[in-house]
Amino acid sequence: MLVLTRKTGEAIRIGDSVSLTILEVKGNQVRVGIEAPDDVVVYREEVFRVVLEQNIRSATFEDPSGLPIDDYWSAVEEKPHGKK
Amino acid sequence: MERNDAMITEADHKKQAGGVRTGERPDLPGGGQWIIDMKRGLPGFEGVRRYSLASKGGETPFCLLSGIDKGPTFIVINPFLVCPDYSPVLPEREARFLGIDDPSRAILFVIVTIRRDPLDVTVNLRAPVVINADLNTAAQVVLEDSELPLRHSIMPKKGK
Repeated sequence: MLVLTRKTGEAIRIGDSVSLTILEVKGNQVRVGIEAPDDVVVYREEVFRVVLEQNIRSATFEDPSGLPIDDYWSAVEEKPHGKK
Repeated sequence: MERNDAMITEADHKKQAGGVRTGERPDLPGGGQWIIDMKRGLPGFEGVRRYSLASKGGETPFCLLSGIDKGPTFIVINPFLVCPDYSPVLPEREARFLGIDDPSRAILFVIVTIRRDPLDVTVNLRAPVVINADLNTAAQVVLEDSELPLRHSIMPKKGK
C-alpha cells in the first residue's frame, strides 16, 4: 500500500480525474473531500462490500421459476394494495 | 411508462420530504420485458451490462432482473410495496450519471435475498437499482442515508 502523509487542506490526485482533499482531522476521524467524474463510484468501503456480497448471494444462474419466493408471497396474509 | 414511485434529489429533499406515492406496479413496456443498460454493471457482476426486466408472473409482485447472455438473475421488487415509508434520496452525482433530471420519474427496484428458509426474505433498501425510463439505463446506487437497512426483512407481519 502506498502511504502518503498530508496536512489539512492538502490533496492527493489519483489518475487524471480523481482528487482527494483532507478537509478536517478530529480525533480519529478524518473528513475527506472527493472530486471524481460521475461514472466513478465513490462509496464507503464497508458498505460497498456488503452490497457486493449481497448481490452475489442474491444472484442465481438457474431457472428462477423454481425459487421459493412464491411460498413467501402466499404466506403474506395482508398483501399491499388489496391484491389477493 | 409509469414510474413505480417517487425518488427525490438532495436538492429538493427539504421541500419535498416524502415524495409522491403512486404505489403502482411499473408497467413494463415491450410485452412485459424491458431491456436496460446497467451502466457500470452491478457490484460483483461488473462485466454484465445488459439486463432484461420482466414480471415474474403469477400472483406475485416480484420481477426478474436477468443478465442477457448467461448473466445472473436477481429477484427484484418495487421497494414501496414492501416498505411504504421508504423515502430514498438520489445523490446528485448519481442523478447526473444516469441523466435523471426529475428523480420522481425514476423507477426503483430493490434486490431480494432469499436464504434456505423460504420465509427469511430480505431486501436491500440502501442500494436500490435506479432506472432512467426515458433512456432505458440503470445503476445500482448506494444511498447516503446510513439508516436505510441493507437487510430489510419482508417477512409477513402476520403469521402463525
